[in-house]
Amino acid sequence: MKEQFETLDEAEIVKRAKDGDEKAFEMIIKKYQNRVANLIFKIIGDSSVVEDLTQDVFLRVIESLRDYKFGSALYTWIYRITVNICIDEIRKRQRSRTYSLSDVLTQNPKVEPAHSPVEKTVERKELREIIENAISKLPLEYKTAIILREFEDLPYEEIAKILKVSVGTVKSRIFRARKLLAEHLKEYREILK
Amino acid sequence: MRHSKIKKLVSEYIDGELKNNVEFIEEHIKTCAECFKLIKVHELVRETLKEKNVEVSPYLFTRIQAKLKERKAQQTIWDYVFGFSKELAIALILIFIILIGIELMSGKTSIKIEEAVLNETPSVQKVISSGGNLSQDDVLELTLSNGGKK
Repeated sequence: MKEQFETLDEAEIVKRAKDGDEKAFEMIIKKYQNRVANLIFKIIGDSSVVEDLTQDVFLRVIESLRDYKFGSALYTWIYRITVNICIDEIRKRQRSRTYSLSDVLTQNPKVEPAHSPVEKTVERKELREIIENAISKLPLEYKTAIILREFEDLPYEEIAKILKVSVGTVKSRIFRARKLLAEHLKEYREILK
Repeated sequence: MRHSKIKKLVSEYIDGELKNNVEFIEEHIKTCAECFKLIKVHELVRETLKEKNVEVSPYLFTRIQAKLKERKAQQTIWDYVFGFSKELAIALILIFIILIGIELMSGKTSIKIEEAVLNETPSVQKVISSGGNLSQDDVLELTLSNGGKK
């Protein structure tokens, strides 16, 4: 049975899944589960919720599969659901969190980071944390766009379909994300050398 | 070309999405420190994002299956409750309509005992034996017979 499925193309598997074939669901989930999990991990930045949110994504995929049109690639459609679930999760967290003034200031990308008079030196092991921290401070729409570009290697057109915005908006969001990241990393001048 | 516009094109160039002005941008990057930083940011972000990855549990599908079954079972209970309520509501409405119909029909064909008395009909026995309800024919008959006696 498994071998029979492995010879099928994705469209046929989706068609079977739409008809309620459980084996077809399993094939789709196993193919995309780690990609979805990593996209969630990169956007949310918290590994403790990845498993549950990945489960939520596929439950929504299964429940709304009948609405899927073959016009767009399956991964585009799954990624769109993933991004929406991440946005819901982030908004939920923001609602339940009480911000202190310092939190607001550090989270606001428009606020210039404090520049240390002494140039900070960075150990290699710290580098990842600094970049991750800078990414986490990006506004959600910029962060999502840059992650889909840099982590998923998706072309602008696909990103536009996932985020349901124009290609021009995607270009602009990615550019602004890079500009903000460069500003956040200014204090670590050696990184950008 | 304004530098802000060039920087946007540099970002597109980095992503391999720039169709025109490619040579111009390549030349510009060689001499512009600010635009070079965008390339550096791109490399660092890419490297960082690809470095640390997660893997889901091999039992994810089993968990999803269980969740689906649970939702299906809940749905079945609600379907039953809602389905039963719907039938019950229809039955109650029908009973109500039938009762109103009976009431309306009986109102047309019979009159109450008080009305019979008020109509000055003397045949109390006839009224009692009718159980309190008299048809119009009974009333007519009683009225005529009463009138005859007078």
